[in-house]
Order: sequence, then structure tokens, then C-alpha cells
Amino acid sequence: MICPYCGYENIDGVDTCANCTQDLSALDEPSGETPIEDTMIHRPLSRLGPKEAVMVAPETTIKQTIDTLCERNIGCVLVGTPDSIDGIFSERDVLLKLAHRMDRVASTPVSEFMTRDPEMLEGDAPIAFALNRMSLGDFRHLPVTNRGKLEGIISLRDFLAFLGEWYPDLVSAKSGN
Amino acid sequence: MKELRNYLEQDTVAQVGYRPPVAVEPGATVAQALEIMQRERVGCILVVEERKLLGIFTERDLLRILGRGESLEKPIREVMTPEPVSVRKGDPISVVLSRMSSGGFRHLPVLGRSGKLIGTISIKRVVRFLADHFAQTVYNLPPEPDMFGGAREGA
Repeated sequence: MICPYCGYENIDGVDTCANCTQDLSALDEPSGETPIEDTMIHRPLSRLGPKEAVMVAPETTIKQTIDTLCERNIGCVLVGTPDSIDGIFSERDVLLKLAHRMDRVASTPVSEFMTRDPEMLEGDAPIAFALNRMSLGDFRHLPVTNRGKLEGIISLRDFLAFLGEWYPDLVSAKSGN
Repeated sequence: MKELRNYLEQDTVAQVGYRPPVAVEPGATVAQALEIMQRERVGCILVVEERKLLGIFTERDLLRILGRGESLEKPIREVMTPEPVSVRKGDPISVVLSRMSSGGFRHLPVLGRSGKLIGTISIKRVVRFLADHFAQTVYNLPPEPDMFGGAREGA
């Protein structure tokens, strides 16, 4: 059983990861009744189609980072390198921490305002597990790793798209109006 | 327990829940709107005049203003999205998600039966509702928010 936090391949059925000691007991639950539940419980979050994560170096300024967010039309960037992620910075950080004082912080490195050590999950972690973590942690983006190395990022919008694939009559971009 | 599809078809905006309206008048400045959004810790603010919903302004709109170097002293009516897409209190979750998907919205104003503005609903709240039901009945995960590196602010 692969640990969703560190990617270590544990013996099936263990309660704790032998490598990082995270609790694995929740991963042994019975299957759901329906195909979407089965998929959400057993299929990896890589099924949600992680997008390429945009990264900036820690010394990138706030102004440069905001420009990147605008140019790419995205809500957040990761800070660091694919092998060493220092933090995450989003439009919510802009709103709460610095929108009212842009003139004073425009040249400040983004590392001073990012959220350090963001939660990340292995691409093998089940979809339902990822969803639960995002919900409990109150965040909209989740970096995805492969054996600890950054592979991409998923967002709540990706989950909406997933629901739209399963229930196109209910939830697609075309229905509901 | 219900299948996920049933939650989407049968459960409504009212059951998921919505925030009471956080609003400003059209003549307020972006700076004033920002102050309220920071205080209330919300990603969007509604623009209302005499109880009528005129527009919506989100943190994404704010980001664009900052990116362009525009003044925060502009009246919010100049930068809001007018006549926003909304949902009704009795609409099923599927309608909320469809409208969010179609428009790329993460927040929608909520109208009551008479068309009166009663609040806003966010993608986070809907997903939390679905995840909670899902986790409780199928996955049995206990909430342990401090388990993996602490909560992050709104990322």
C-alpha cells in the first residue's frame, strides 16, 4: 500500500507508514456501492488531471508574481523548485495580506508572504482522500507529487470537471441553465 | 446512504448553506470594498443599491486591477461584473455546479423565493458539503486538521 504522503511502498494493511509514520488506517475502508464512489475511493487523484504547476523562485517580487498570476489566469503559484517546494502563494494571500499596501510591498520577495510547507499529496492518493484533505484544510489548490517530486497541481475546479464527466446531464458546463 | 448523484439532484442551496450577503454600494471605492472583504475574509463582495443586486466583485477582479496598476480609488461600479449569474435558494446543487462550471465562477449570489438577495454560495462550501457526506458514510475519515502541517490560509 503506497503512502499518500511520502510515496513509500508499505506492506498491505499496516496502520502506520513505515517511512513517515503517517496514519494509514483510513485507507482500508470498504468499497462504495456505485461506480463513482468506487472511483473516488480507489482511483488516484491523478485521475483529476493535475495541471502543470507554475513555480516561481523565492526571490521573485510580489509585483512579478501578481503579473504571472494574471498572465496565466491562475489562482496560485508554488514557490521554490520542483525538488524543493518552499511555499504556495495565492490570490487569497494577495487579498488578505497585501492588496491594501501594494506600493509598499511590490518589490518584496514572494517568500515573505507565501504559506510555507504547503500540504501536498502523492498522485496515487485516492480522489476522496484528496477531497477530504482540501475540505478540512480549507484550501482550493493541492500540489501533487510523485515519490515526493512535484508533478502538478489540482484545484476544486478540477473536481467539478470530474463530476461533470460522471454526470454530464447534471453538472456539465452546458446543463443547468 | 444516498448515492452522490442523489445529493446533486435533490439537495438544494438551502441545505448546503450560504453566507449572508457581504455588500457595498456602487459608489464605494475598490479600497473600501477591499477593506470589507479583508475583514469578512471573503473572496467576493456584492454590489447592491436599494436592495437590488447590481454586480459582483471577486478577488480575481482585484488581482487584475493590481496587475494593471490601477487605482483602488475607482468606484466599484466601474470594475464589478454587472448582472451576475445567480442561483435560487431552492435550486439543486447540480444547478449551482453547472453555473459555476459554465462561467468559471467560484461564488454565486443566492436569491430567495421572491428574487430577493439573501446571500452567496461558494464552491468551497458545496464541495465541503459533498465531501462531508461522502467521508462520513463511505470513507469514515475522522477530522484531524493538525495532522499534516496545519491549515493553510485559503490557498
